[in-house]
Amino acid sequence: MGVIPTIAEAARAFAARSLSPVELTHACLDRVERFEPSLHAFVALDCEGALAAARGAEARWMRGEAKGPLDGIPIAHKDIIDVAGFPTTACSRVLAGQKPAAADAPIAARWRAAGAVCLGKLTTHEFAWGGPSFDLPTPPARNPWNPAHFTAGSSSGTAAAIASGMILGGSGSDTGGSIRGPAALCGLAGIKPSYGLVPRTGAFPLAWSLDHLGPLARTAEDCAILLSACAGHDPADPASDRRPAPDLLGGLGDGVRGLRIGIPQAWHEGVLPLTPATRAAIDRAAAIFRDLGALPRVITLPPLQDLTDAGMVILLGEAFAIHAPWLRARRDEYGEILRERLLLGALVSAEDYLAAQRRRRALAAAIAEAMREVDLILTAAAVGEAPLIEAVDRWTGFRLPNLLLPFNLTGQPAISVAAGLGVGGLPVAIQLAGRPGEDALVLRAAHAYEIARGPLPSPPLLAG
Amino acid sequence: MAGGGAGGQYRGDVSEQRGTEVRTGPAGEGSADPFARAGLTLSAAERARLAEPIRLLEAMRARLRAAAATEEPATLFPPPKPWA
Repeated sequence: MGVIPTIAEAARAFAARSLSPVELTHACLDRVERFEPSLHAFVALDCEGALAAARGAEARWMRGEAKGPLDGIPIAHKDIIDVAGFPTTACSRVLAGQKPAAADAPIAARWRAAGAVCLGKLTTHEFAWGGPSFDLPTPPARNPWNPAHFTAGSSSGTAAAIASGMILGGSGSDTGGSIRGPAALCGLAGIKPSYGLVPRTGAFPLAWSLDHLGPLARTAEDCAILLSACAGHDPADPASDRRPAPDLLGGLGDGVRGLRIGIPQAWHEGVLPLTPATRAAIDRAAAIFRDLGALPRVITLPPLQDLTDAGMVILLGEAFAIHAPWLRARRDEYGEILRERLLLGALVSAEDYLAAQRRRRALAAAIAEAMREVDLILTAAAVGEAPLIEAVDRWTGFRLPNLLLPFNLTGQPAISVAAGLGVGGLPVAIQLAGRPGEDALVLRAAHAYEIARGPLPSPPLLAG
Repeated sequence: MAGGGAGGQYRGDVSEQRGTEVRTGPAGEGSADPFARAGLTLSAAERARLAEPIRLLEAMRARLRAAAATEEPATLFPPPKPWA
């Protein structure tokens, strides 16, 4: 197979019997064999289990009893998420020797029930925050567009595996951009759903009030398929939304005519070193949306630094509360980057944490007020192309404002979408955010944008 | 995470390790050093490496406290809850 299809394309090909789930799974496993030695996307593989699941899916398609568009689609899960039969290690020595999980986390169980073929577990930054680290049990994932470059994190293996065609979609977690950042730097789509839409049960937490689970894939349409299959209430997650999950696929092709799209221009100015290619991508996206009948305009939102301050203090306080017992007893088992980040949590007092939470509420109210005038927010998803992995500044999150973290604070759905290539030949990306609960609108706009944008080239690695 | 699954899976490991916990000696909970108060002993090298991020975090905390100082202290503050 020359080109790995998207999930939507594969499902159509399965229905037309021009492609079989077994054939597709073999093609993905071939790519694992070719690219895994240089990309380090997987921490555990189950080839036999995957092929057995693919054979089951194939039989269902042949009988006309397919479970839906995910039936027979190769996927994998970030290694902070429980998948039955695999240990969950969070790529940390702290969890080395864990027994295999006895049960799937809901996101894994729901995708499995939809017929998805699980290939295994994917590299993550340590406990979804510390990376890129070279002192963990497994090496950091590499960017398929250029393996000398960073994937971003923390859902690094998920992005590397999808961009290289090892899988068609996968799970990530997003506490301050960990789905959207890797999607942006690897030329993919990745959605952080509304807070509460996807249950976090069975996933190791980083910061309870900011954590979200969601999918990465090649397109917004594929994200919609994956998110549809894992959204919905779970009583074991106290933050889980009790409302019925929205229909994310029915209106996906309805376009953006009449939608009001706000661009917080001030977020892209000041200290953030946005590259010319990223600035051009935002301008181009605004022009595309205008051509499609939407109404883009500049808006004012709370300063990005204020949102970052509140988010980082909350993240540190909650992450420290989770890890403090291990930090006291087993500090040397952490990689250096995560250890040092977590130690800073000791400096966050109860007063700081509550000041940040009060500020969060005020900032979220200000953004909600601004969104009375617009339906979507358009921003950059990253300042530019992926840096060299060796050159990543481990304290960037403290040094510069974060374009992705605001929507973890507010619980709004936000998607990162590829917007083309920069001067270095690596992807640049935009972000679209909607009101809480309006995940379908975010996916619809991203889908319309992707169609108008046109196809992206494949990573050079795949041509070799 | 919240609730069952992984949360239950890992809980035992922490309590088993508490027997080997490194305490900070006389500084301990009454110390002015926040690391010591948290039961953490940092080497001089670690403190040196953390000097810059500590400064960056202090700036974040200072901005948050300044913002909090402008708020009415008695304003009702509901804790975070699901957005539903």
